[in-house]
Amino acid sequence: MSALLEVRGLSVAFGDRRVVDRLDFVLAPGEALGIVGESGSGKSQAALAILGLSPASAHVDGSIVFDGHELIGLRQRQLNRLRGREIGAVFQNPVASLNPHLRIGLQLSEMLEVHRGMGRAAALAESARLLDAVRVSDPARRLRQFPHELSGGLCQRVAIAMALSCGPRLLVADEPTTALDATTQAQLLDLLLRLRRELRLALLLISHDLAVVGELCEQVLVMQAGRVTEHGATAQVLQAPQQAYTATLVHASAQLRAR
Amino acid sequence: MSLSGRTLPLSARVAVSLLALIVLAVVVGPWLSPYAPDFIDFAAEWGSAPTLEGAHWFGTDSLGRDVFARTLVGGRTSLLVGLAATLVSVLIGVAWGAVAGYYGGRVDQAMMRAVDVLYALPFMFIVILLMVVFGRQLLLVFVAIGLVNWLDMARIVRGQTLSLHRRSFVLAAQLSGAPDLQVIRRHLLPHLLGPVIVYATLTVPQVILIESFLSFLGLGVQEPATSWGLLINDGAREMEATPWALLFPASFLALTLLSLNVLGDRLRQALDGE
Repeated sequence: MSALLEVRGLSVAFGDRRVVDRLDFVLAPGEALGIVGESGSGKSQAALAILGLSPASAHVDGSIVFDGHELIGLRQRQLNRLRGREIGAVFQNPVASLNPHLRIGLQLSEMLEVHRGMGRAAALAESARLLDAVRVSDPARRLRQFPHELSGGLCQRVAIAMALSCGPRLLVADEPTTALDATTQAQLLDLLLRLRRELRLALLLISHDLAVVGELCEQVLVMQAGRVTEHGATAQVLQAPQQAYTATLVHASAQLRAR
Repeated sequence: MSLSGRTLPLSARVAVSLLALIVLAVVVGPWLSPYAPDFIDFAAEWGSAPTLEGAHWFGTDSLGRDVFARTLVGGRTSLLVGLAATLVSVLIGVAWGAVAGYYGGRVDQAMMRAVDVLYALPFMFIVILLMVVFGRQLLLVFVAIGLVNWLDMARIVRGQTLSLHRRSFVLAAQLSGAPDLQVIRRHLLPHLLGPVIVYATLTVPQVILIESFLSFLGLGVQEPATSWGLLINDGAREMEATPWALLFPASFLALTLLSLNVLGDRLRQALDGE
């Protein structure tokens, strides 16, 4: 099977400080890769670079091939056309993921109107169906609500629904469960797991939580100070880490769990 | 960042009522006044004191013109300049600041350095130069003041945009392929509205003051048209003979400025309180 996403030598630098240093990985359709690392290890900057959303001050280098198209060096317009429907993203802060000035229904249906050429009524109906798919109760009421009326977990579900609205093949999730409490976290992980299976969605999961990655991903990539320290099948990396740093991470997470 | 559903403090409500009264008086008043602002009443004593019995409620100035009518007509000019110039500064400032903050990097650097350079130029000198070169037209007063006042607005809007443009919903909108202009209009501008309104409220009195100052120097509005600044200038010259010709326009100006400043200040507090 050919790769859906192939990243080669991806570097992100701010001035002469390299926050991501020659990142390589390949993601097959439907596969899930977890990038783990401590704060400041460059994992989020790597995700932003893959999404083409690096800040203006960042210098991005290397190669990102999505579905046979090189993304780096493309002009904004071409980039939009290529990835708009194919790549969805979910970010860390669920409340900031939604525009607080717009009703949920409007935000969701606007995406559908633009990308799938739906009329307003059809888009609203599809929005309700999407909310139902991410297990939001009473979608009709939610559509009329504003983001501040929803809980964090609900906001994140809506954000996932938005990311999925155009039927992407790759979902990039940057710490999607970090800001949520433990119960909600478990529910969201279940949801992501189910969506992966049902939609055959490739997943790029950024997290500092090895347990989350262990549950969702086949591949794991450990980053430290911008570099990849270990990369391999999840079970193998978690059970028999080759690097001292990975061992420390695994150990730390085990200790937390034991407490 | 919404102000709705929140009752403003008493001082702000008093300020709003006062402003409404002044605007109403300025708009409707001149039609109700028995005298035209440039009518010289030979029947009355020149420079007559205000009376309630006679028709010169605010008295007449040293040329025998009705101070009541002149104050209200002058107010029209002052408020119009205030609103128009503020509008100019809001339009330019918001567009400039939003674009600079949104694109960031070199675009931002270039645009904000241009603002810095303009800041460094002596403003009064430029306005005076404009007046001298293009002649004294009311329209030019608007433009000149607006052109200078957008600098602060651009800085404020840029700062706000910087703090917003990396928020997740903006990224999500960009990712979904929305054109930049739409992202700015749909996802950034609504968030800028609060600070912009507050700052615009504080700009109006500034601008009115600048216009008054220009007119006081003889560079703004020209006779027979008049403005509060011009009336104060005339009144100040005849201060000993006809103090009311200074007192009334000056009080109107002061009350308007005070109300606008109080209102802007309270709005800012309401916004910061969140």
